Amino acid sequence: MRLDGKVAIVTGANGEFGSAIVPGFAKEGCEIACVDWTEDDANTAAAKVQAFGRRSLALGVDLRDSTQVETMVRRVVDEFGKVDILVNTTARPHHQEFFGFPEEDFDDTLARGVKSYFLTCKAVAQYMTKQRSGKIINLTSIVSKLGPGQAPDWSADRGAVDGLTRSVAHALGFYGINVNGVARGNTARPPYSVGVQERIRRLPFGRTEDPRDMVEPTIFLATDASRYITGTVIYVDGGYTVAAVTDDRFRPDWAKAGQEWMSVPLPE
Amino acid sequence: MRLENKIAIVTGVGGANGRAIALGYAREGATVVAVDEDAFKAEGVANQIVSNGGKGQAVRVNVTRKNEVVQLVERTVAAFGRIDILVNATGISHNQAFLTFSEADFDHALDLGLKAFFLTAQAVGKQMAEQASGKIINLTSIVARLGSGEAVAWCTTRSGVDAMTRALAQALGFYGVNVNALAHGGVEDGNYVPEEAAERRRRIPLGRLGHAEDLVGPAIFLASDDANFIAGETIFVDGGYTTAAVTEDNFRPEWARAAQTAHGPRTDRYAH
Repeated sequence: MRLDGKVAIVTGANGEFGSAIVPGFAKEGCEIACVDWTEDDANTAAAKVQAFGRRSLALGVDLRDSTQVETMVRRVVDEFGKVDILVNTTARPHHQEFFGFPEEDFDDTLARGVKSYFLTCKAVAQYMTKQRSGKIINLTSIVSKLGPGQAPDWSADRGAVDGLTRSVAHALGFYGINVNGVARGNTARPPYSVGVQERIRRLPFGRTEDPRDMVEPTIFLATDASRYITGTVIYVDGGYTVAAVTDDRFRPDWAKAGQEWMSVPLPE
Repeated sequence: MRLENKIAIVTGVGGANGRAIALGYAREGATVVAVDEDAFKAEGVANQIVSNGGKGQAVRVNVTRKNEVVQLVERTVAAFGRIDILVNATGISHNQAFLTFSEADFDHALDLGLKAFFLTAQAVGKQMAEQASGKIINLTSIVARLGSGEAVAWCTTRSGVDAMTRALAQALGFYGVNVNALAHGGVEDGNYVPEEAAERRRRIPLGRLGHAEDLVGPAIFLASDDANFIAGETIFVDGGYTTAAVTEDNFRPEWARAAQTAHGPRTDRYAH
């Protein structure tokens, strides 16, 4: 087991990606403090850890509040004696048309996204620097590289997370701490909208992302295997951000326009 | 003159980059609305423009406040009938040690260096969409792609601007508005310790660090019809710094070797 004896904090533990990462880490022997905006969500996530026979802690925390974040990290260290891994997965985009985009929604996206990452990174760093070890993994998105028109907040926020990741990597590298990002792609499920169908022409695997696709890359960044990787972002996006669409003449029959290929089943 | 009859709003003219671009646009014939939160600085730039024979007007605006930004747009349109160009040049780094980085400074950096760009792009973007034309240019920095430990807020806001530029380009592209960015960095007045300045120079084969003036040509280009099919792009005006793998001394010309570059920029060999 690759995370045996490790202690992780996962924020957004019951969210779309947290829900996959938490059991994925627990299966590898990790003890996990499951943090989410509500106690209910934190409890749901923590139960999954216990199901693997690992210790867990459920914490409902307003991650926009530095005092609550600091208290959260102190409680984790009190309970487990250390913190080896921080995985930030919170995000709250407010997709909508740009001209009427409310200022409050923009603020909310940044507060629940990059600002909360800043606060958690800073709070765990107080302990990880003393330990002279630690792994921080920030969930970001393809929208940090590609900008959709309905998501000025989401692009601003995820782009900012990438920048924060690079900077914190340099601030904490001196202390033996690795800080990296994992970028998610589109997770729409069938039946696909026209927009998603167009997307899938750029995804040679013929399917959108499943949050479970993110588990192994995140474990990799949480282990010693990635010890010389820092300040970078791994794109777990099926090739979307680097796609120049392959012409139909050069695609296998099943992947040509109008084929049913884009309902490739998800892996088990 | 490449920007004749164009109406340009430049924010953050109190800073070196905003000032240089405002003056450069005016030289090319644009009418420049010079915006800063500090009225004295805004007026200084507008006065300079006028004394150079150009057209400029100073407006004091706090670009982190939506109502002030909306007013700026209304007043500009009332006075000049349209807005052709918006340059966002506000931002503050608040560089400091990460472990004790002030939350208030982080918030302030995000307000001035990221949210303000959203507010101005939205308010000006509405006007440009009605006109079915316009150019928005966001100033960012090499830290949009690189990270340094003291620059947590700076990296965060500049990377946010870099990414948001792409989203804004999509949102406004439907209406004939181009949104792009310019990244600047490694400047001569960057307040570096000598070792740091020398190391940076070693990554910039042109033999000197950057000046605000270096941004002017690219900013004019992005504001002109020459850039009509460029959208969502960030142009790095950094002398190659962001893409540098440092060349070994034995493959460098003599004047660019370690012992020489430590002493400062080679102004004798390279024109500014």
